[in-house]
Amino acid sequence: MIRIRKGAEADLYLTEFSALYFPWNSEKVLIKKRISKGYRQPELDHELRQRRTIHEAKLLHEAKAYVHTPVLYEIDTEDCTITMEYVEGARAKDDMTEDMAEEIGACIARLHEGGIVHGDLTTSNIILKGSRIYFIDFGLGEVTTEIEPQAVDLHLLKQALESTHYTHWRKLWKKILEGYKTRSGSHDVIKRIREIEKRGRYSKR
Amino acid sequence: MICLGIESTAHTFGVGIVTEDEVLANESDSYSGVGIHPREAADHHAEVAGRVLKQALKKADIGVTDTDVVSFSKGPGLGPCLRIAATCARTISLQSGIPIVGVNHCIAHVEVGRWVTEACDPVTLYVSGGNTQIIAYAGGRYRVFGETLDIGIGNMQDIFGREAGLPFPCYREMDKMVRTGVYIPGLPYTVKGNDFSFSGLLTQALKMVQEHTVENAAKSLMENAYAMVVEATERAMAHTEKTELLLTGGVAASPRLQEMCCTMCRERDASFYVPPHSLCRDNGAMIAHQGLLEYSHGKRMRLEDTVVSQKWRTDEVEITWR
Repeated sequence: MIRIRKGAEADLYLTEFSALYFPWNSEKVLIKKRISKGYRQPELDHELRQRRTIHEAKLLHEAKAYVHTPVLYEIDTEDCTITMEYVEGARAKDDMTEDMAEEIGACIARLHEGGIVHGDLTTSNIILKGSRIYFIDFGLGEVTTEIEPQAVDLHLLKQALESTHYTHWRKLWKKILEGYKTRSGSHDVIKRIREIEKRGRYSKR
Repeated sequence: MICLGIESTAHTFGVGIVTEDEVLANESDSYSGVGIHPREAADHHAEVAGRVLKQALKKADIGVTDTDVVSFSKGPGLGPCLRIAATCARTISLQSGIPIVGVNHCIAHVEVGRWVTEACDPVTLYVSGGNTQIIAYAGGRYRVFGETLDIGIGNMQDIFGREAGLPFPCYREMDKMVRTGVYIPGLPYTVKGNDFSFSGLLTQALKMVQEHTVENAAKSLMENAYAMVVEATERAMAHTEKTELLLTGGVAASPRLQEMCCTMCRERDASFYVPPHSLCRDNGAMIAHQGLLEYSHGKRMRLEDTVVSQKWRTDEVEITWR
C-alpha cells in the first residue's frame, strides 16, 4: 500500500483489489483515510471525519444514478476510511477544454436535478478518464433540492475556475452554464448565483 | 528611499514611515466606539491626523520634505474613513511636491508580512474585523482562494461580545475564555468548499449563552470559527501546493488561532509565519512599505487617480513587483 497523495483532509493510498479481497481481480483500489486534525477539538474532529466519511460514501453511491463516480468497496466509520475503485485519469484542473466544460455543466445539472449537491466543486475533484467525466470527493455534499445550496455549488466552481484557470475561466464558465441550462429550473439557480456574489465582501453590486 | 504611508480604512488612523530596510515609525490612534459608525470614525481620524503625523515624523526624526513618496490606503474600507487618509496624502503630496501612490489595504497586509518574516510565497490567512480571506499569489495576481460568505470573523466576535454583555473591545476577554472555557460540541460548522460563513454559528452561540455560561459559549464559538478558517486555509494550501502560511490581520493576535495554524502547518510539513502584532493589525507602516514597493517598481499616480475605492477587490490589483 503506497500513499499517493496527502490532501487537505484525507490521505490517499493505492493498493490492489487482490491484496485486499479476492485474488481474481487485479484492479487498482484507492483507500481514502480522513486523518485526525490536531488543531481542532477532538469531539469536533471525530464528528466531522465520521460524518463526512458516511456522507461521502452515501453520496458517491447515490450520485451514480446521474454521473460517473468510483465504485465503493468498503466503509469503515471508526477509522474514517472509504475503499473504492481507483479512477486513473487526468484532473480537470490540469486539462480542461471548453467542450469538457459544457459536459461538466450538464453533469452538475443532472446531479442537482437528482437532489445532490457536491459541496466542493473544484477542478481537482473532477477526473477525466477517456470520454468519461468522474466526480469524486463528496465529503461536503448535501442531499437537497433547494436553490441556495445548488447555487453555492456553482459559485464555488466559478471561484475555482477564476483562481486556477485565470487565463480562460470566462469561456469555461460560459460553457459550464450552457451545459447546466439543460435542466429545468436552471434559470432560478443561475439568478441566485448573482445574489450570492452580491452578498460577498466588496462585490460589485 | 523613504516612504510615508497613511492608513485609515476602518477603526485605525495610522502613519508609518519606512525605508527599504526598516520601519522608522509606526504610529496610530484608533476610534473606540462599540462597533463602528463610519462618519464618527472618520471624524475621529480627521481630529487625530495632525497629531499622529507629527508623532510619526518625530519618531523617525525626519521632516515631511525628507520623504521620497507618500502612500495611502486607497481601499477597500469605509468611504468616510478612507477619505481622511487620501486627503492627508494629497495635501502632503501637493504641498511638498512628493509623488503619491494609493495602495490596496489587503495586499499591503500580505506584503508587509512577506517583508518582515521569511515567508516567500505563502498562502495568507487574513483575519480582521471586516475581512476574512485566504489569499495566494497565482498567475500574476493575488487571488482569493476562500473567504467569508457573510461577516468577518472579528465582526462576529464583536457582535457576540456585545450581545453577551462583555466590555468592548471584547477580544482580550474572549481570548481568555477560549483558554479557560469548556468546549461544548454541537454548534454549526459551516465550510462550503474553501469558503465559510459565520452568521449561523453566531446565532447558535448566542442561544447557547442562555443555557451555558458565556465563557463556555465563547469557547465553543471561537473553537469552531477558528477550525473553519484553518480547515479552509489548509485546503487552499493543498490546492495551490504552497508550503508556507502567513497569518495576519487584527485577529492574528489570537493565541489560540496562532496555535491552531501552527499545528496545522506542522502536520503538513509547512512553515508558519506571523508578523509582530504592530504590523498585523491595521497600521501605517504596511501602507508605507506597499507604497515604496509599488513606487520603486514604476507605479505613478496622478492626483485624479487617487479617488478612494471602497470595494477594491484583492484580485483586481495589478502586481508589478513580483
